[in-house]
Amino acid sequence: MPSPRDSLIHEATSLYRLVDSINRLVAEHESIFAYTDAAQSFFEEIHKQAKATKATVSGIMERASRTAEESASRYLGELIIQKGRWKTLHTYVKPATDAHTLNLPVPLIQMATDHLQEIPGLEKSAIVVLLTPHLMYYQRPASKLPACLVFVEVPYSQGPGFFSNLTIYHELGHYVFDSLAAAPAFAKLTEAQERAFAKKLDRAITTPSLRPWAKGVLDDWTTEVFCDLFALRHLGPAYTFALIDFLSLIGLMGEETEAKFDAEHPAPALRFREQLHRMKEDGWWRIVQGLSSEHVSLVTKLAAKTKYSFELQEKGIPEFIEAFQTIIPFIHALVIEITPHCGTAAKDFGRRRAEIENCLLHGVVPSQLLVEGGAPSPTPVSMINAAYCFYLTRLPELMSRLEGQEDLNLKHRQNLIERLEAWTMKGIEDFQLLGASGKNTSSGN
Amino acid sequence: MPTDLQSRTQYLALAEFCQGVISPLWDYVDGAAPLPTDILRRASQALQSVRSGDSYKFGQRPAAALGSYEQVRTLEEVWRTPQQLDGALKLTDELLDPYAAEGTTKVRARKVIELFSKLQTKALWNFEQPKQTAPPDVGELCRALETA
Repeated sequence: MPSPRDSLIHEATSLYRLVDSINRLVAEHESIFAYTDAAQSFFEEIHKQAKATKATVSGIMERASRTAEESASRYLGELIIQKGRWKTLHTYVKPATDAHTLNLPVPLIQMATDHLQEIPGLEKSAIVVLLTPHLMYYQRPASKLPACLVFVEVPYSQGPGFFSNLTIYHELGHYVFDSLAAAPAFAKLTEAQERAFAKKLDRAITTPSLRPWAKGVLDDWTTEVFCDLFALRHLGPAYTFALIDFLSLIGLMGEETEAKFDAEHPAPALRFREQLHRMKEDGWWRIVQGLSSEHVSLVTKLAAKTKYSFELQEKGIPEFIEAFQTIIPFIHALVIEITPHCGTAAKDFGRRRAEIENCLLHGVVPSQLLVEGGAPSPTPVSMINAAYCFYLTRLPELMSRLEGQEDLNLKHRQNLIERLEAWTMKGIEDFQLLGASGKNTSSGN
Repeated sequence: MPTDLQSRTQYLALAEFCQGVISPLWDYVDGAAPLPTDILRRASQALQSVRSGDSYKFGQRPAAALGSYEQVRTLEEVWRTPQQLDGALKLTDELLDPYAAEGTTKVRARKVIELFSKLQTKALWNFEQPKQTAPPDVGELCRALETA
């Protein structure tokens, strides 16, 4: 059996090598690819932390050398924690190095960053995209990274895509919730959660761990609806449509699952009910409700459901849903309060939708509608919503105008959808360029 | 990236919390530093909040040291009965007794190191396991809700 000091030396060497190899991988990728500013900041942080960890490990070894052989193991915990931090960090590094600018919808990421920075307290936020084989998640790193870096996983298969990536706004909502949960704006929501918990669930808590679990369930549901509404406020119905496509892809839009809560998510039907309510309040619904699209019918159908269930270990616990329902109005109020910059988005869309769709029907980038030095309209949000509506309802019309395009040919459809996404992204990029050159002062809404 | 990564990093945070108590206490035992009273007070408060059931606060999720289900569950696995948690809390509080003799305090410090080392070992073990934390047995919760 190795002595405590030998074990320590072994652990320290192994950690040193791990850190060094991660650091080198980052440096190699930086020399080959171009990255967003946020990714670049993350990589700089990796270099900084690598240097600091190497110094810490050397310091631990030095202290251990001055300690009696038998008590050298006291430093082992410190080393294992450092190693754990790097093991976690390294799962972020490779996906971040894969997410170079050729693999990303950069205008969308830029727009999302601008939106995030409009929220008081989050002015310095920057989005680091991680391209992974998994679905979309917000990652809350435990590796002492700067709080302004927002880590969002995007499936590599959707990397440069546009419509499907709109759901990253939901993930940004998680970051906002985590970052601002202790801010005064959240106080009423927090009180409502405490009240709901105390009234419906507190009396049944019997062990110390059951309480954080039960509160965690309510908090997770609250966060999910908050994230949906946050995304919807910024993107309008395009978010709801993208979410339907996303949930369908992962099989959560079936009759059997749509009214079921799980320990982390409210039922999809309830989520769409709240989105519909928000769309009505914000003036979006009257514009899109007449669309001849399954997405619109589905939202209407789901929102009309009134019976939900939450089962765990084959036992129904309706009290959780009852408690949660009392919290929902406070989520709406909070989202409205922190996103005043989104108030006029639907109005612009209503005014410019037909013109944008007309551009797309003729294969013209909608930035043609932007006027240098004029009012900042149409906004990127209007372009996105018009493009999504066009995608849902008018693709066959576009195809019929082009020679050799067959409506039922999937390859042809794919090509045209990709072009539609590219025209939309170009429109947003041009809007951003005008903004950057000072001719347009809006950030996107 | 494993989807349960976030659950697992909760364990790492708990291990770090323990390390934050263990390291300065070792320095104290070695005579290299004074008794870390502020750290011990914070540790005592964290244990106290678990005992009183308010360790998880809405709106402060990422901030609490012993706030999450995963962390409290780990603590329950190490200190299996409420009495053991009370014992750990008592020992930590006794260490803060300003009238205790230095020899006594050092003995107590070693015991607290041992307690938090056990908790840390369990936390690091859980961190290494590629599985999600099992949810609690909700049977008792359901029965209590039905009878209330």
